[in-house]
Amino acid sequence: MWGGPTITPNTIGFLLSQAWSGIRRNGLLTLASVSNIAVSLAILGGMFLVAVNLERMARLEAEKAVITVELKEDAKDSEVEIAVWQDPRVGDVEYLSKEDSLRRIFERYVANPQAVTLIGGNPLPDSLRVKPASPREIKPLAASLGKVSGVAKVRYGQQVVEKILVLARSVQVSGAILLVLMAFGMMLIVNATIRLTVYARRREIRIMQLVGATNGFIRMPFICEGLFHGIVGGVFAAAICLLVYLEVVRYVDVHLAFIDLLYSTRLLVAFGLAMVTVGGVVGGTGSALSLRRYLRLA
Amino acid sequence: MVRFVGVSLLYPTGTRALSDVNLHIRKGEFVFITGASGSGKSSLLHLVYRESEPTEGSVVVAGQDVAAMDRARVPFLRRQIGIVFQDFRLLPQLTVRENVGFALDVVGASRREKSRKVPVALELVGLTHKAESLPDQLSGGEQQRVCIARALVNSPPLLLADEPTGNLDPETSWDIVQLLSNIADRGTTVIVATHDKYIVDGMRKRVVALAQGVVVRDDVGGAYDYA
Repeated sequence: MWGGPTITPNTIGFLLSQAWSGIRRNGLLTLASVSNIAVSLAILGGMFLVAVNLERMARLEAEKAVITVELKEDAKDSEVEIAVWQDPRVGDVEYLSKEDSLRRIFERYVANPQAVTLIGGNPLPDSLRVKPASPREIKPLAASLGKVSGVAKVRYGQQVVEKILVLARSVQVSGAILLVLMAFGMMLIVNATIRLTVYARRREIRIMQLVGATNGFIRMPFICEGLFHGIVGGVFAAAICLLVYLEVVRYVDVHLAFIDLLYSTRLLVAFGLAMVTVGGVVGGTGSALSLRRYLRLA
Repeated sequence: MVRFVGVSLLYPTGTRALSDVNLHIRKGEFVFITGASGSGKSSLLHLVYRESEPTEGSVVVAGQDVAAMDRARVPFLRRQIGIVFQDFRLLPQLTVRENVGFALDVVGASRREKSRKVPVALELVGLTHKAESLPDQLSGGEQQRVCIARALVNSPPLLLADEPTGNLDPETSWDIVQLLSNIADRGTTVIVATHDKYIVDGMRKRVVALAQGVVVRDDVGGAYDYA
């Protein structure tokens, strides 16, 4: 007689039918709550996808990053190259004569590469293209390479990487702030909806309390109802995000081929599941909160 | 079964609902708690099922100190107490059978337990033939019988009834109290709070009379008349 509550098939059926009757009774509000969660989560999910892709772009860019070490006119390239190799952070070094450099530029940017012969002089210096062992060390490595004797100037494409990283970080930060605000908003509306169910069912709740139902048991159908709002909202949000994202990936593939967007089925499935989970957590928490005060009063 | 030791109950508003109540109700006893409105009858019952806690003294129900009980244990106390209300408190959208079964649903009973216990409870109150009716289709007396069946379906050792005949005509009232008395004869302790003189005088059971929160009389086989 003093044991804990036992869960039987009858119990589960009872709880689910209670939850379902609440969902039906609040038709319009359920719709409002579900669509609120769907839209909020879709916005957050969209920001997440943008941030993840920006970060990935920054990383890919950083991996491609190369330090260009321009040599002085009078420097001996082999000596400088040996000196550069002394630094353990150096991954690879490639010597590029001024002629090679010029040819590369023409090959890449000029419609007729043969035009290279039309230029009289060559303003470019001899250079070494240094690939850092790790992209993260590019900045300190460049600084110390600048001090090697015979080196005129050091250049690297860090600026682009840094800009993308800053952008990714600002998307992340605003996403995090938005997450907090929207989670709050989502919980409020779930809370308000569940509160109406609680109110409509106050007689049942009262009787449950008098015949000895535990608070956990009384709470369960309402939490199921909140979970339903959150999970359905999450499913819609995931569907919206994934459909739009796949469309964007297709467009970018065709029209902006130099941008390489993240595309992995496993990752996108995980993303969808995460959306549904966040929705469920928000919905469940929102409804649990709506009952706390009510149950304590009794 | 129920013991009050020096119990006082003071409402936050400063109203004194009960003063130094001492009471001992044995297992299987049938007891009337009588008194005018506001004399503390309901407050006394509330203390038994921990609807409220005494300001002073202790309330012991089935060997458990109810006042000192942890909140989480209150539901388990209530599974040992059946409660009958003046206003029946039935759920209008559920049939008689479902209303009685509700008390089993919420304590995690199995389907088999339900199909075994609900008919027994309905038979006890004589409503087997109304099992599929909705409360609105029943008379007041029948609704009260459903309420009693729901209170008994868990086979509690203690049954509390707060003005069970308050909404019923005298004849029906008499039937309901007879039913409660039969339940006591089967070994259940029954405590009935009432201001119905006709019933108390007719039954000749133990009467605990309250006036302004004080026990003014405690007679076995008593009548209603109080000062």
